[in-house]
Amino acid sequence: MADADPVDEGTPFEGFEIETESMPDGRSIHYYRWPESDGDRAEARDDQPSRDV
Amino acid sequence: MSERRWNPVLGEWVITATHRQDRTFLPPAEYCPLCPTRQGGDPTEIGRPDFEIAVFDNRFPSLRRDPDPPAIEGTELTPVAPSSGACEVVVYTPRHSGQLGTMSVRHVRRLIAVWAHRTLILGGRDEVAYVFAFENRGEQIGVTLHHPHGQIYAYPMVPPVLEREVASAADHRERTGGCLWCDLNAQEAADSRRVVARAGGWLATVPFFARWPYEVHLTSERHVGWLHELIASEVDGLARVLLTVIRKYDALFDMTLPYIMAIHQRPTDGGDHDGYHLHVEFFPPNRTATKLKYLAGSEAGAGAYINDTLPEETAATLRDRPPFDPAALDEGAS
Repeated sequence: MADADPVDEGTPFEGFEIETESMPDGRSIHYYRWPESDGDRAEARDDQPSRDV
Repeated sequence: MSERRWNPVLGEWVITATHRQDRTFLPPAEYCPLCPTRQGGDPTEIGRPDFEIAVFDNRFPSLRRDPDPPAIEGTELTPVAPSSGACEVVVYTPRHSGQLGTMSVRHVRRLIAVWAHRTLILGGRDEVAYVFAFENRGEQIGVTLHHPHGQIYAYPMVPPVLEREVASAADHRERTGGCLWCDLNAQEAADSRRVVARAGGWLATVPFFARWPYEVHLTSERHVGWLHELIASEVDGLARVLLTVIRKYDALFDMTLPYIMAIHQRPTDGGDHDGYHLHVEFFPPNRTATKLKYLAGSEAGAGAYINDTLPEETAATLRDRPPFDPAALDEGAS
């Protein structure tokens, strides 16, 4: 279950959100997202190496 | 199996981590465990693609929140202790290609925010005395995955190098009333021969006492101890000077220069460390395009570094490589 946690601690850092999830073996992973970058991510997905080997 | 063993001769802890022998070693790009899992593909460490930066617990940690008890019994002379703490992997981007030096100023500011946030989170844990963010770049340094990433170790003790720096800072403060790094900054800025770049409240120099040929230290010009204490212009300045130094490195021999990047902040052990000063250290192992500096007899056996170059000359060489103006770097998209 993702746990959205908006972060604005009054620092100079641009506002970001964290979504924390459990990995299959119980470890934690934290996804840092900047909401204003939603449109930039499609380009990043296209940049992944192909697995069609 | 992981534990800490006390070395009473040097007065420092050594961490054993035998399970790390099995970690993934230089997989082909299509099997990169740090790329987001593709639809219908094998699962990687990263379950989703919609993020700018991801941080997760290392699959092969040498330090962990709930470590197993030590597998060997210690003695009064050589005690052992659990390897408590944390080892996190910081994935700089969902993209497999590129590296820190090719990222935009905006993205590096965000990475600084993540480093600062993880320091607050990990440093707030009772068992953590020091949070250390770092990056190893290049197979010569021992990198096992090429996807742009760094690491964060949260130690249950202040590590030896940091402990020496903390002690030097306290000693300098007691003798002079000042900050060791503020005084070094003032000396380097006035001399100027070893300055590599300066912008946004940050000074990059090849230190007077450099141990590596192209060692560079980035020091904030204002006295702060942690990344989260920086003001907005200083975060932007650090991003720009960091990128400037890395791009100068890559222009040095017209290749992606291997390096170790170490972010030195104050300990989080609750002690009085007001005299300690935030800075970033770079250690590239190359002395030429094809020759590496090794930690040989004098360095590894006696702890006495011998630098084959003069800091004044290597600083001049780096100044002569682009980019020349950190303020002119492209803000860029994410």
